[in-house]
Amino acid sequence: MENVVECVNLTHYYGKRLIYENLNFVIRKGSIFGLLGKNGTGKTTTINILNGYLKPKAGHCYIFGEDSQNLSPQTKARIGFLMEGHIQYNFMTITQIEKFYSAFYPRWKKEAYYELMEKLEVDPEQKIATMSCGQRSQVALGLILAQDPDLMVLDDYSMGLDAGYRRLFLDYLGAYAKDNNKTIFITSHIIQDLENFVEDIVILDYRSVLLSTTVKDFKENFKQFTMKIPEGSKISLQKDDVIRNFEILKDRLTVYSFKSRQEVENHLKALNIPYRDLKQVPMSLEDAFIGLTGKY
Amino acid sequence: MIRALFFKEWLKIKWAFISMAGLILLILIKIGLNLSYYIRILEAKTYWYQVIIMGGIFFREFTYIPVLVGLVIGFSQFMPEINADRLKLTLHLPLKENAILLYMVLYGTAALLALFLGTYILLSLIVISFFPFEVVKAMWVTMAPWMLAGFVTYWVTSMTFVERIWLKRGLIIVLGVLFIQTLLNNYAFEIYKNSLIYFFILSLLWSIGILYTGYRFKKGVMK
Repeated sequence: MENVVECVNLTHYYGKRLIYENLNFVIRKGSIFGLLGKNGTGKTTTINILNGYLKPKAGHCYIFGEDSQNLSPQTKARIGFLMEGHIQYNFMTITQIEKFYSAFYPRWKKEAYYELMEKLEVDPEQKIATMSCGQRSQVALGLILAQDPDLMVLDDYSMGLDAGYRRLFLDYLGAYAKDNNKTIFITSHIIQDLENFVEDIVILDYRSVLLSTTVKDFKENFKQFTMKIPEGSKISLQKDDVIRNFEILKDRLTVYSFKSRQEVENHLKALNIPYRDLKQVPMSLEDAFIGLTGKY
Repeated sequence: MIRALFFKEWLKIKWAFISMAGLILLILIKIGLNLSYYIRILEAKTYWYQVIIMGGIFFREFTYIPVLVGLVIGFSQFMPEINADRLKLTLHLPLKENAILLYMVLYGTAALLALFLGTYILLSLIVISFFPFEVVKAMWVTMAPWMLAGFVTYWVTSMTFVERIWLKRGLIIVLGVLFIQTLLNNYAFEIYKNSLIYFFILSLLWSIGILYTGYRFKKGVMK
């Protein structure tokens, strides 16, 4: 299948601070790709590199085969870009901004924009600056849908949105992408919303790439085990090949692992951990994300 | 596409443009009333002597107005772009990035040109009704460096806004101010008559300065 985006060995520093090293991923045509990570792990940095607003210290990104540092106007016309916080030209009105963008995109679909605007019950002459964050998100989404791009790059679409607007955003976006075989690159700090939305994911941690997989594989292979331990017992446990992460809260030990239950039990026994009542607990994508990246 | 880009620029500078036009108009009225007043009070020949023989500049109010106009138009045009990094949206438009930046500066420059040309025409009409054409010509030459300072102020402002690093911004402002202040002498008529062309050529260098800070913005240069 054709790759719309290919990032190869991306490495970036801000000053001496390493953001990540050797980030590799591809986004297949028609797929929905999620870049997940806590704040400050480099999600927006990656989007800036993808859009050519930041030159990485090493590595390259290619969009539709072009180096992202030198995108041609034709390729830019194929990319819909949602800025973090749904930033748009807030000095324009609903009508003005549609008129403005329509001049730039040959496949412009006015009706896709106005269909969303009708739901907002706002005056067509209302300035974007006077709208709520939720309404602004719909303006930004409507503009992207009207542009009819082949690739949509959405930087933290969920910022500042309540549950209703987040749902509305993803419902619209998902239906549109599915019907039109569009490719989506999305980041969000609200992982639970993306559970049934994204297919492929990369999980970033501070200074490194934790995982590159599909949501399905991640949820199937990454497991959470809870067990009882004697309260106050001194347990010396460390992250290793079997135990990807763990938490101790009073008499409860939680272990996260990509290994099977049997392998985890064998490992714990080999480490002389005095556990009992080991249970495998089902996880949502958000649980798994926190399990992998930790709460801090 | 270019028309749409200009439409966006107009929306940003609309109120700044109108208020600056209003300010210029008020100053022109003041100058016209002053001329009429002095000629009546001092008698025409005494005032003529002051202006023509003594070289009294009666439109001194305009020394710093072009600088103010350049600053206000530059702020109104580039502040919304830099606020929340909106310039990223603009540079994402399907045009060459350098072309986008140059079109933006071209629009602002054209707005300044319209205001300054309007000033020249109206002031010329006022002056010609009191003085011979030679005084009008001297007024043109005297005001030209001030107008040039207005353009440079605008170019420096636009360049500064697009730069991300405060230290570099500071450097651009210092260099800009040093250049602009050399254009603002107003103690006699036509003092820049022989050097104006050189100042003009040097000033044009500032007009493309935005390509340098724009490149830095686009590449995310942080030093």
